[in-house]
Amino acid sequence: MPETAICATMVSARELGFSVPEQALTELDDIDSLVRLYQARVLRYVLFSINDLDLAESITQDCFLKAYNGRANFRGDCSISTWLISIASNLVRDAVRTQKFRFWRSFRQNAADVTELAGVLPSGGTSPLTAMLAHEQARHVQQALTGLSPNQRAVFLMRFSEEMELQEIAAAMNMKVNTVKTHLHRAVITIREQLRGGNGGA
Amino acid sequence: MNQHLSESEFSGYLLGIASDTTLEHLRSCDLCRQEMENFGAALSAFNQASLLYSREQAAARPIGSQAMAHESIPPRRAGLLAGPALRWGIGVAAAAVLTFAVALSALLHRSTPSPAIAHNMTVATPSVAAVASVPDPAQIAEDNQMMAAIEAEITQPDVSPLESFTSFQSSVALPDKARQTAKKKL
Repeated sequence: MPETAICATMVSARELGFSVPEQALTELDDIDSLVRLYQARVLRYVLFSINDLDLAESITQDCFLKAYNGRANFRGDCSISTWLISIASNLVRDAVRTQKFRFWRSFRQNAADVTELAGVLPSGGTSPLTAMLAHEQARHVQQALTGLSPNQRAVFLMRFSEEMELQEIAAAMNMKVNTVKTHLHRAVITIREQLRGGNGGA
Repeated sequence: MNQHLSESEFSGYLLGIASDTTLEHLRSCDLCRQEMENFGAALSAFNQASLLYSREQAAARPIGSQAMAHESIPPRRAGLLAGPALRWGIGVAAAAVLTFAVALSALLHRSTPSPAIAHNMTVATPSVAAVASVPDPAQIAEDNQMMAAIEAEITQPDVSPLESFTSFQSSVALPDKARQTAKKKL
């Protein structure tokens, strides 16, 4: 859902005839519970889209602020999570557009910092070998993400981390579904190549 | 079915748009199925780790209604003090009033001097007038002498940096080697 669709009109979605579930309205009215439930997911999407923790936190906060202020316009035609990721996606796109140089510089500079990501995987209940393998896999995927274009990375995260439908991704990215498929196809090929390289051809 | 899945078929399966042929191949081919599972496991590990990492970061720096409260209220206040142009205008007006007040105060002090100051002025004025009107020959000679000294100082030619350096060099006893180096540099 494009940001303009969320913020352009002050007429509430209900007034336009959309049936918004009561539960969703309750969640959206309580900013603290909204943040508590979705902050980590939104932060993850933003962080691994731009690879800059400070900027990601700022964008995440903006995302919740926009969502809260524009909650009357939530149509209920997707989950709240998808709606939030769509808002975050627009904010990321704006940030990338306005801070292009900083974006690329920080992406390269911070690339190594997020390797601590693998360290947070819980190893309980699995053998040390399995845990080590999972650490390596997470690290390889994270490294491979840095080799994708911003659009490829965004659609890849939406599809495989946020489990959004192709139509939802298309709406969030303001793209045609076929364009989303093309980006995803290229992203999958790149990630698979990187993983094969990282695993020593395994 | 000997041919393994192509990249296109592989990504098609991951996008949920796999053909029946692809699905059939995956059921029968251990190698392709294993590759698909490996890819899925890598994504799963990444998703799990990235979510845990994000949760840690979110917990370290939480955002909520209190953190966002000041941002949801528009920073611009309504009223006369709103807007930089109006604030600037108020500042200029305040400065003008202050200047006028100082000038008025000075004017009032000047027009109505205190009795003591008025007395001193009446006493001093004739003596200054007397000095100005009747020049003392000794004073004139002293002034002329001073003017001549200033004239001589002004008309003296400037000393070039080289001359000042050589005079410095001669005044300070430098070793011969250092002196040679300094001359070469010059």
